[in-house]
Amino acid sequence: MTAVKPILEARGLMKRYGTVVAMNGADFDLMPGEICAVIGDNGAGKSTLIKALSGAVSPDHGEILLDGKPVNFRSPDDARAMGIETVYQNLAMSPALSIADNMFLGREWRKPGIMGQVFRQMDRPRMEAFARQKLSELGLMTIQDISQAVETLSGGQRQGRGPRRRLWVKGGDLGRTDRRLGREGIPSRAGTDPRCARPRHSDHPYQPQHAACVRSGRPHPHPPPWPSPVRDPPAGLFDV
Amino acid sequence: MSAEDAPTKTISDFEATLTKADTAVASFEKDDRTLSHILRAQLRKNPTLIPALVLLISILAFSIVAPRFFGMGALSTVLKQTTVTGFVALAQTLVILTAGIDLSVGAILVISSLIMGNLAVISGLPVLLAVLVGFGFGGLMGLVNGVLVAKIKLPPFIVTLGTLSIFNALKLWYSQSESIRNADIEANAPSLLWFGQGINFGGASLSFGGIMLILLAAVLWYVLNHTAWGRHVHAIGDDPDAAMLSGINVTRTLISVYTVAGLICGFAAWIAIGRVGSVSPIAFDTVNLGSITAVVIGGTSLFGGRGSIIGSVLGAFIVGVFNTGLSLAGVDDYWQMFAAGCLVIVAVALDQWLRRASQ
Repeated sequence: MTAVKPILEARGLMKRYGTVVAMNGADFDLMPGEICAVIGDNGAGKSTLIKALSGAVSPDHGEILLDGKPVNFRSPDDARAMGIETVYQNLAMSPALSIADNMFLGREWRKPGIMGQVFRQMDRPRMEAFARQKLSELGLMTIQDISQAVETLSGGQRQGRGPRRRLWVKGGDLGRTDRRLGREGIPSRAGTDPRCARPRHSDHPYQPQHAACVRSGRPHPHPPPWPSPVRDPPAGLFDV
Repeated sequence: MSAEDAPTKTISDFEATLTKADTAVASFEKDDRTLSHILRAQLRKNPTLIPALVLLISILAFSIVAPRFFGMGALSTVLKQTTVTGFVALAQTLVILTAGIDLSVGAILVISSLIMGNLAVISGLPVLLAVLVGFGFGGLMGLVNGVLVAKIKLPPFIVTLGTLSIFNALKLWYSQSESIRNADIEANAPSLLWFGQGINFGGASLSFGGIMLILLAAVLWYVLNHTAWGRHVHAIGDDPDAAMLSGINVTRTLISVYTVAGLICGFAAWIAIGRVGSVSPIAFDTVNLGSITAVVIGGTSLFGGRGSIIGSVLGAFIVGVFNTGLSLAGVDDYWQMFAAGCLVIVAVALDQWLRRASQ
């Protein structure tokens, strides 16, 4: 068997907020096609680890390697340019904007030709059509109005819609992650579920009270259906 | 793994129950149960509906009270009177959309107009060059606000309260508290007054400044609604953390917003010279609060994220209509302020009602 190199690695990540140590020397590696769940107690540093890997937080110490090369993300946009997409716990949405605008926030498509290049006009019809198509593929599309503001949805509706901002890029990994982890006998909502406060099933637990990594090790069964304008992400991070 | 740790149910046991599960992943019932829901949804979708209606009704009402009001003459007077406030309200709208506020807009406008006047009239520079320098200083002052807000992360209210004071001091120092008289401008740099001129038709007159206001409002409407930058401005006002996590460069966008606001005020300085005919360091001291009043009456939320540029222009017109209408009806000046105050409070109450999610 040829040695498979981790696609995403972290070595000795440390993050302090004042006197609070959020993450103390966390190591992490992710193989190509692997699905990994990070579980741990409240305050163990799960979200901090995800945020460091996705560029939302810059660690005080340690290094992150993508494809074996050290990377230094200064913003989530940097990480995204390298192909790392993240779905956040708090959904990270802008309530006054429409569903389609939210899904494309920070990476809008522009109209071709002079309208897009000189006048920088967004290609709304194309973005809305794409959003509608992707939501339908996920079976979440019983809504008529893709230009409806997110705030006009009720709490439950909004929650159902939360991860969708990133799902179109990640091609429905969340559903698959849930099932895969279910088979392993590990609840998938690791971050918020008190039942997984003690990660019995973890392969590589970190130090006590620190985020542990649980992995399934099997590659994706299907080619991911993400769209051509976006590079195939090596990793999709879900902070749930 | 010990025997007691082994799961008592296998995954297929869980999946067996799935056939009975609800297959609908999420349902989205429409939010149209009562009249107030429908009204709220409509107003959310068309935030300029309210100021447009209020403007129409107030014009009609004042026409009944003071028949002289109805007609192109009085309306064009309103447009003239609100031109400068309208420009500053455009700048203010951009800032308020990011959940900020800019109290220094009036001071930026006055400094820019002093620079233009001094360079063109006293130093004898070509008018276009003088205007460009004043315009540039407007942008520079906006940039200072933007850097303090976005980089140093100070509250916009505090930053602009401070720069308001600083700019006010600078304008008195620079001008030595002296005005530039209309006669001097006409003699040395008449094209500074160009925006005060206009086209006359049928008893009404439309100044070039008024036309520029409408043009700039159209440009800003396009930028806010049809470019990525415009969406980012809204998103930052809505939730700056979510905007950052979405990959928006919040710092850069905020700085650009305050800079553009400064540039608009710098341009408005030229319009203001044309409107008033002279340059005075103590002019336009009410334009700060006037612009905020116009923005709020126009339906833009002080909490950021929602609002419209057209609404702000309409808001400025509404205040103008009330002022002109009340004075034509023979009401004392202080009741104009009273009316503007009532309009602001009603507008904010309405905004709060709109923001509440459907219940």
